[in-house]
This record gives sequence, structure tokens and C-alpha cells, in this order.
Amino acid sequence: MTEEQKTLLIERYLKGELPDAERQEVERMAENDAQFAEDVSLMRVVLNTLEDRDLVQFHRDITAAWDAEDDDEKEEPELETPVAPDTSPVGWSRRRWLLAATLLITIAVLGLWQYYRLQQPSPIVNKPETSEKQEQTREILIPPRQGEAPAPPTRPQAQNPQSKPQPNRQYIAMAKTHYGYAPDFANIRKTGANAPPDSLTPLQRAERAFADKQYDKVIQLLAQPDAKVRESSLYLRGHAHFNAGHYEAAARDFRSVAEMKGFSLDNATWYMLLSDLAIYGLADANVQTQLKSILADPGHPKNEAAKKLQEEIKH
Amino acid sequence: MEDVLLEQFLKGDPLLIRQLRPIILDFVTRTGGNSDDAREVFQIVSLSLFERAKRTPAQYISKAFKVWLNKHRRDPDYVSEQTDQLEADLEAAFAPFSGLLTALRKEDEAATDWFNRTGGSVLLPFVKAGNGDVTAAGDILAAALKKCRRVIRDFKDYFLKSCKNEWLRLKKKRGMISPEEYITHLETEDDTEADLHELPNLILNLFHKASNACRKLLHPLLFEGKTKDELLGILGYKNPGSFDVAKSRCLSALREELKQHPYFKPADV
Repeated sequence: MTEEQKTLLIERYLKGELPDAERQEVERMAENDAQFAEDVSLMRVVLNTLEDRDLVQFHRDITAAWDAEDDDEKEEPELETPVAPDTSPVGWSRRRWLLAATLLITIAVLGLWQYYRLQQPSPIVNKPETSEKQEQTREILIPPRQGEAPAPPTRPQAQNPQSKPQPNRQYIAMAKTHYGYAPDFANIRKTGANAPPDSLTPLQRAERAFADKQYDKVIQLLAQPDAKVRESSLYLRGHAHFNAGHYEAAARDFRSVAEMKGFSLDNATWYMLLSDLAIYGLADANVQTQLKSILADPGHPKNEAAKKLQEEIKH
Repeated sequence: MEDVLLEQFLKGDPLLIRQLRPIILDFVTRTGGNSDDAREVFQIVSLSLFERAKRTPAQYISKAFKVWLNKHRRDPDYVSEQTDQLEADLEAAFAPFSGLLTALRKEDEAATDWFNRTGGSVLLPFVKAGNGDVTAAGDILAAALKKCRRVIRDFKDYFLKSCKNEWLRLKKKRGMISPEEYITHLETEDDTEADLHELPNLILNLFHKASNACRKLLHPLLFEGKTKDELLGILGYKNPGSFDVAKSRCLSALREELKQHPYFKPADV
């Protein structure tokens, strides 16, 4: 029997098209020949899958959408910035116009901001501030979705630089204690451990620098994170800021990561809490809110750590 | 109420996929995978969600039963036959109660009681045939009920956590997982259930990569609902025999390609 004949026989068997005698013969063959039984089993899954039209259609649609991104990356690398899901029934062409308009507005806003910044006497040049501005712009351009979980608590920005809290060694020590060891980014480094630095992406180089405790270098490398790895970059940069003692910048980065609601959401909320703790201390209402939020979520990976922190507050 | 984004996703909304893609890609490539792995993770989780969206209470029970049976038996044909039969019997038994799933999701007591009694009486003989007892049947029903009631309120969060789990599952299967990664495992869906979608996903990917001739033949036959007689004329076959041979050749090639795939040669873990 050729492969084609065998397939035809199995197909007819599975569809119940065989007369009794042939059906029994197929069953006997399946009992005596493990290879044949495997072919029958596999053909059953193949036919069940391919005959489900809705499933095939859905698979084709989502795969095409996924693969289309590959094409877009090759053709339009400048359109890489991830955008929030749009729930309105807007067509593709209109969305592109909206995106273009948004980009123009962003450029104009940043241009004006830059202009006014240069007009002001001796401003403090602070890279993370740029990041904050971008985040604010992003917030304006991308309002939260309907029904979306509330964003992590925000802290009103101090209007007067003099009202900024002074560093408190006790708070910092407490935050550092609960921070523990810096997260190990070994999984990432593993892939490029032997690769020459020139062949690595800025994120990979930053991961190496982080492992070597060169936190300023990490911050420098990730000053303008690539949109494709924005979440990972901000998360890593947040840790670099924390370890370098820049707690406000760390809090900003972790907050941005938390707002993305990606894979690092839970960890980011915890480290944002620790960064705020280092700056504002335990009595701060926002710190308390963040702590309560983690304590209220038993599935949060830092729930136990939050309980320990709460115990410390009680004492 | 479920997140409206879920509905959008089930319609294949490209904008939503555009947003999810870089996050999944970033995570998978950072943790030892490549872009093909990320694509596979995304596809499997998507299929799992798609199947879940259409699931009836009878299917929830038969799915839970299949998971239980898979843990105890190795014969896939037996599992498949028993599950199909159970599902058909349950569909018939549940037919009088339209809107059962909605009532269960509202935690309606009468509906829950009816689900347990009716479902239990149909399920028990199948569980006993699989060397189980009343307790096992109760566990299966409870697992099915829990899943019936699960509502996805934050689609993006659910989807990304499912992707993380799926990637960990695939890594574990391929012997790539490190012990510390077990700690970060997030409970969203059973691994065993995700496993059920891996093979169909592979089949669909291989089908999409099949030769033009095969796709021309199988696509209208399987998806467009064209009859064999219609296709004989459209594709220019002179007799039904040669059409059958061509179709069998395509399916044989697909089956052989499947058998060569690493899916059927799992790493020893």
C-alpha cells in the first residue's frame, strides 16, 4: 500500500465512509501496527483541525497581523512606537493619519519645551527629566482605555524645588534593606556572554554594565530606550537609578513600566514603592497606598516582602 | 463583564496584536528564545483563547475530563473517543437549559445545582471507566465550573501572563528551563490545556506553508465548503480518482512533515 492509499483509507475510516469489512480491517491494522495506529491518530487531529473553518480563519488572521509587523519593521522602522489599543471603529488609513498628527504635535510640544527650557536661567540638566516629559506627553496622547485597571498611584510634582524632601538616611537604609540584592539579568547576558560589545544592542550592553555595577553607564546607554524594548530598558534603568541613589528617577522609571502593564508590572510596583519609600518615608500617604495595594493582592510576587515591610512599620 | 478588548482580539484586530507583539517578542527573546518561539507562544495562547470563547458548559467538562484522562492514560485514541462521547452526551443532557453558561457566570445557585447534578450523572460512568471514582468526578466538575465562571476583566494582563506561562511550558518541554524560573510561574490556565493547542497550531502553520498546489486543493475543499464535484471542474481534474490521489498526497506530505517535527521528539527533561 502506498502512502497515498494509506492516507485515503485512513481518511475514509475517520469519516465513517468505509464498509464494515474494511473498517474492521483498518482497526485490526491499527491494533497490530503501532506505526499505522500513530498515522490514524495524527490524521484525526489533522482533519479535526483543518475542518474547523472558524479556527483556521482566526489563526490566519492573527498570524497575518503578527507577521505584518515584520514587514512594517523592514519598511517603516520609524513607526515602531507601540500605541495603545484603540477601541473605536476607526479605519486603518484614519489611524495612520492620527498617528502622523500625533507625531507632529509631539515634535511641536517637545520643540516648544526645548525652546522655553533654553530661555530659563541655568536649568538643571537631568536626563530622566526628559524621560518624564516624554511620559507626560505620552499620557496626554494616550488616554487610558475604558474599563482599564487604574494606573499606579501618581505623585503630584513639587512646584517649588525647595519643597523637595531632603534625603533621609533612615528611609534610604530601609528601602535598600527591602530591595535586597539587585535582580539578576543573567538570562539576558547568557545569550551574548561571549559576543563582542560592538555586536550587542544598547540594552544588552546596559545589562552587562549592570552586572558590573556600572550604574551610570547603564543610565547613559538607556537614556533614549529603543521603543521595541522600552519596558525592559526602563525597568533596567530604574534599577540602575536605584542602585546609584537616584530614587526619584528610579520611581519615575518604575512607574512608567507599571503603566505599561507588561511582564514587569508586579515587580515594577514593588520597586516603585521602595523608591518612594527612600524619598518620602513610611508616613507618606502615597507610599501607604502602594503598600496596601500589594498587600491586598495575594498573588503579587512581592506580597510576602510587603508583609515584612508592614511588620517593620508597625514596630 | 469581560474586557471589550477580548472581543476585539477574537476578531483578529491587528492594532491590538501590534501592541502585544513587541512585549511578547521582548520577553521571549530575553529569556533564551527567538522570534519564531515568540510567534508560536502568541499563536498557542491565541488559539487557547479562541477555543475558550466558544466553549459550552459541556465542553468545559469534557475538556477537564480530557486533562484528567491524559494524566492517567497514554492511548490518545481512547482519550479522544471517550472525550468526544462524553461531550456529545453532555450537550444532549444540557440542551434543555439554554443560557446555562450565563447563569453559571452569575453564580446562580439553581443553575449551579443543575449543572452539578446533570453533569455529574453523565460524567460519572466515564470517570469510572477510566478507573476513577466519585471524588475524581467531583474534582473534574469543580474544575470545569471554576473555568466556566472565569471572566477576563483585563485582557492584556491575562494574555501576557498566559504568554509567559506558555513560554515557560515550552521551555520546560524542550529542556531549556532553569530551576529559578519555576518560582516566577504564574497560574492562569492549566499547562495541560495549553498543550492541547500546540499540535493544532503546528498543523495550521505547516498547512499555511504547504505547496501552492496543495493549498489550492485543500483550501476550497476544507474551508470554502466546496464539494468534490465542484472542485473537479474548477481545478481541471478529469476523474475523481486522480483528485483523491492528489488530495491524499497533500495530506500524506503534511502528516510526514508533522512526524519529522521536534514536537514528536520532545527533549528528555
